[in-house]
Amino acid sequence: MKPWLVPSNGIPADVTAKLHAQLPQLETARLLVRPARLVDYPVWDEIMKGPNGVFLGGPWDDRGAYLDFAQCVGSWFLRGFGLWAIEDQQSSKVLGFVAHGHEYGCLEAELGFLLIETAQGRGIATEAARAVRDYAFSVLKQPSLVLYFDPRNGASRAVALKLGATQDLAAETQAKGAAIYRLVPSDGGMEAYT
Amino acid sequence: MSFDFPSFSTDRLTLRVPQAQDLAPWTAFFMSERSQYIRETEPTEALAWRAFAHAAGMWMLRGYGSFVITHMDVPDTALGMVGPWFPVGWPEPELGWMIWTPEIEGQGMAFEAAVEARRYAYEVLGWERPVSYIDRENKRSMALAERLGAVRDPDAEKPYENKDDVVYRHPEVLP
Repeated sequence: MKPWLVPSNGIPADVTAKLHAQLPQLETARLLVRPARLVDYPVWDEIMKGPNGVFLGGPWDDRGAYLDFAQCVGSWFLRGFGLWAIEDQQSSKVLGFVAHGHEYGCLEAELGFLLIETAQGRGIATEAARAVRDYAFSVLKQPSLVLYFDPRNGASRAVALKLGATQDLAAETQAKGAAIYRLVPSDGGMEAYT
Repeated sequence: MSFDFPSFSTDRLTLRVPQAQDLAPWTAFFMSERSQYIRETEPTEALAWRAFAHAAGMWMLRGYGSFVITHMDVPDTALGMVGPWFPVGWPEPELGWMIWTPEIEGQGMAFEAAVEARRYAYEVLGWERPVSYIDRENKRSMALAERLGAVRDPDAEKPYENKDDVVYRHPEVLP
């Protein structure tokens, strides 16, 4: 294993454990959605370097993929929300990630989802993203969430629609090539989402 | 969200974990000539965000990371960064330092901060003889390494992105 991917032990491991104990965890019917950790990195690497990598800003090399992971995780620290890992409750296997971020210069928080190949086509991304969406609106009181994806990525568009997002054509005109969908809290309360 | 992280005071300075408010002074540093030795490309604000969030992410991923340096009585104003970290591509963990603003140069402040951060690395993290990677043109930084008692280690492996760096290795026993 690359030396920078070996998790800490001793006192820094305790610091990390304490930190994660203070962060939220979201349970859904099949999944545990929780903040990403260093041990989840190989799954991130697999997704970013896999066939969907081109939809995620790729192609990615080792350095770029890890920098992106670390900065998405760092958002927990800087923004109070960040990269979530999607864990299968039964097997404890990490199936992918929900990226909840707010990059410098963006006007609003963003929601993205990425899955390993074997987890696709089972509604996993929708189930996990729905939990994070509800957390963002009901706990963090975020006014909106924006979803950016490659317009060729039909799976992402399907998830966006199932989440109740609507296409933002005005923003797309300015964004040159990205599909942009937007989620806002429903007046009908959380029930309206499910 | 507030987390229970280490912070230290020296005679004149406080070392604490990075916070969102540090992004503005970090970005000002990153966009300026002062950051020429720590970046490989022309700076942009987007790259500044990514680099800073990455440094903050180290704390989440590893349980340690770089500390932000402030004046002891002005803890909201970040002046630089110092401390142990282990970013992607590094063959071993590093003790690094960056002074963002010229305002604290020439007063031994970087030395004071580095001594304290190194003490944390040795005494709390249990590090032995860590390295510092320094651009071969960065004379001030090399002078600081030497003042800290670090010596050139020509045999040390370098980060793959920083083949032109000079590697300093810190002493086994702290002076």
